[in-house]
Amino acid sequence: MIYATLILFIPQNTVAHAKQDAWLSFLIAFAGGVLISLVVINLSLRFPGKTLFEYLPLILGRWPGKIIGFFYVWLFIHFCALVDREYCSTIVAAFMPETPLVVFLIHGTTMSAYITYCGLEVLARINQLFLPLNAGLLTILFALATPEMKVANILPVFDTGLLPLVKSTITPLSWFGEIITLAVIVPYLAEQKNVYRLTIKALFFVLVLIEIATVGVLLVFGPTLTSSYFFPVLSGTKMINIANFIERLEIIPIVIWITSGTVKGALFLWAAALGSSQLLGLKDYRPLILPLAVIVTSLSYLLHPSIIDLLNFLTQTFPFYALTFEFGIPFLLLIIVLIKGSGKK
Amino acid sequence: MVQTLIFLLNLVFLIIIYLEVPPLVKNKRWRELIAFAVFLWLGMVLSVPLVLGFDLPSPTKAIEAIFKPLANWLKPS
Repeated sequence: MIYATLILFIPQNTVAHAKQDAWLSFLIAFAGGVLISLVVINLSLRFPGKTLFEYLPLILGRWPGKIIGFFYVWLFIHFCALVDREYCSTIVAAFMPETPLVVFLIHGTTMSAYITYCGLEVLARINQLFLPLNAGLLTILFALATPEMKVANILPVFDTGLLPLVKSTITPLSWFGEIITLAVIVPYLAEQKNVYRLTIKALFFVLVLIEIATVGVLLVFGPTLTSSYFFPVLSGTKMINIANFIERLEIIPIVIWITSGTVKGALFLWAAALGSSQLLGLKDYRPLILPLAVIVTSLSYLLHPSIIDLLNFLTQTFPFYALTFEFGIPFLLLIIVLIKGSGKK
Repeated sequence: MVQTLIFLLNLVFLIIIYLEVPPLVKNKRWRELIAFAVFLWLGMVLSVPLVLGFDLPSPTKAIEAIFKPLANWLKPS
């Protein structure tokens, strides 16, 4: 069972900081993502068969653990709302400006809720179905765009300096950090022994896909143009024109966005529902899914007045907010566990 | 227009209640029922004002206020 989420908003912010070296910052972010996943998996393996929400009270004591747990439920709800909002906004902004945003949000969340209702296994199978499709489509897309590419666009390499590079790394790092969901998934994985290997494999796969997209877009547009587009991947696809015959392929990124967005939203919805049911000591998480889906739909509408606000939030505030929960708290938990010596081993 | 939307929203809530509540009552899962009711109530609190056109405060503003100094550092110059 491989878990990987596709993240296809190439951050213009990353490119704005790192210019032509943006591909480098994804490499660094990948290293950070591996570090985060190592911390999270180590923590999970110390409490075999228990999710994040079950071992939080064990580590911190009953009430503080539950309070932090509810912060995580909020985080997953927020992630889910953000994911839904991201791809629905993209559809509205790029293709269907007349249709109200809510229509897409309701569709997306209903699909996610249905997948979640069927359980984690269905979620993983759907991902198995979509992932090769998405990866293949993305690769074909950028293979078709090669006539528009100029190598000069990513030269000179290593020209930006250290500080801009660090700044540009933080946003992708917070996305790789969404691997924190593993803290909820690990107890349900079939192969407990290979978790480390599988996770790093999955992260590497995500890295390869992101690099294909980033390098492709950079090669087509160059750093200045890329950072000024809202959806560089989409604009990159619009450039494809082979023999005046193969053109207007924008539907492909939209397919990728919708499928991966639905799966990702379903994953976070599942984590939120399972988390809240475990915190409240319920036997079944499924009754909570539909109410949570209503909350997610209205939240994702409520969170941001416009897509510009959304993008600014995602690239400027979101990294620190997310990394607090993705890296800060798990790291502290691991230190506490090591000092107290609780858990197995 | 608003009446139609409110009607549709209520329909959605009724469908959700119809789908979820009978099995819970039949199996006497009162804890689940209470949690379900609380979350559904939260959903109503969030969605009804949106339909009526009120401006709810966005949680984004609070998060942005907390992380403002760091976020400013990340702003492209």
